Amino acid sequence: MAELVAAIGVPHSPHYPSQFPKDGPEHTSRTYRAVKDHLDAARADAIVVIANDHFNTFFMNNFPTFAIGVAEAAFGPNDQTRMPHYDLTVHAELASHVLKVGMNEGFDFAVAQEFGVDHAVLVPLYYLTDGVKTPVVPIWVNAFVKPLPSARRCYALGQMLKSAIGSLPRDMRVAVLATGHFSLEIAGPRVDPGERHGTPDIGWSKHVHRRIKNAEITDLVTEATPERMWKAGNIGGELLNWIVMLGTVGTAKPCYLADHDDADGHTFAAWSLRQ
Amino acid sequence: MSAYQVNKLCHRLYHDRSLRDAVKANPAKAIADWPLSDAERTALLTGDVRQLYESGVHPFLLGHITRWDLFGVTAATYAERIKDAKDPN
Repeated sequence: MAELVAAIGVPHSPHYPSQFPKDGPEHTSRTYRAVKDHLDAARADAIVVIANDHFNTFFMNNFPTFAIGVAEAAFGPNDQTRMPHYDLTVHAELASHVLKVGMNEGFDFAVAQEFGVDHAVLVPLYYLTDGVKTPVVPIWVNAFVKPLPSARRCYALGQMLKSAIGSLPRDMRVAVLATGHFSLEIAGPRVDPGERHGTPDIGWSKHVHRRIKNAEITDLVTEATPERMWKAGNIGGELLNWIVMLGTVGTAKPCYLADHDDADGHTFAAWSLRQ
Repeated sequence: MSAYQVNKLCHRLYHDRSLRDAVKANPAKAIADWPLSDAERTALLTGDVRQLYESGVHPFLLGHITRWDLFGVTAATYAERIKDAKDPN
């Protein structure tokens, strides 16, 4: 059977690749490298990436609450992120299995069979892998088109994902990667003066970081209401990507957790889940 | 206003260079055939991002217009005009 070996959570700002070289001395570059060490140690054969689309793969004509990519290949970035282009391999067998198990357990995914992925998938893979060669399975969560799915539902999806990985009849190692921020405003009223973005609620971001550190995930799921996340910015719903990932982690504490970035509120974390 | 068509227009502006160029050259002409309400059209052409936000245009899409200073809106003027906007219900 397949084994869930690691879980990872990182931010996915589209500005990073043009600002922070992978091998650079900057704090962001170094922190991604620290997380990469944990992912490398897990020797994953496939990575399930849990992210939100920013109107690049989907649009409001049909915007999915939860979607999964079931294909042989994908490409990206399909937005204007300044970074290298990649042709990705999708792990179709794992994707198809997660879809089937999900449907059976009441998670009615939308299914994408031909798609590009945006910065939310590719910026983390750019930093955390060597050339984005490991096959991936993208799962998209609606994190910013109201109404959002509930945190409880996202956590349950993560629990389903864990059992789906564990029931795939193939000897392989799987990592789960969630991407996003906890407090971020893009182009809304709470941006910084003269800027396109702001961090309206660093206190909430710090609080979420502490919940993760102490593995107080049940409390976090209760607290992460749509109203609370919105107070942390119009992109604050990206916490839901993390909550799906935390559903795969259970009660484990992270084996790596970078100190909270009190300026940007970014969190970088890794869990080793090898039995 | 449903705001859907404005969302769609902003989305198209991000992904479609020819529409972007047309808006840069002649904004009123470029959006003449779009099925917008009078209020939406006026708000776009005057760069009234506060009203557009309050009418329900998604900020992530609306913000795209500042990438190329479309409709005369720069990042700085956008931030200034949006700061007192109220969240739509």
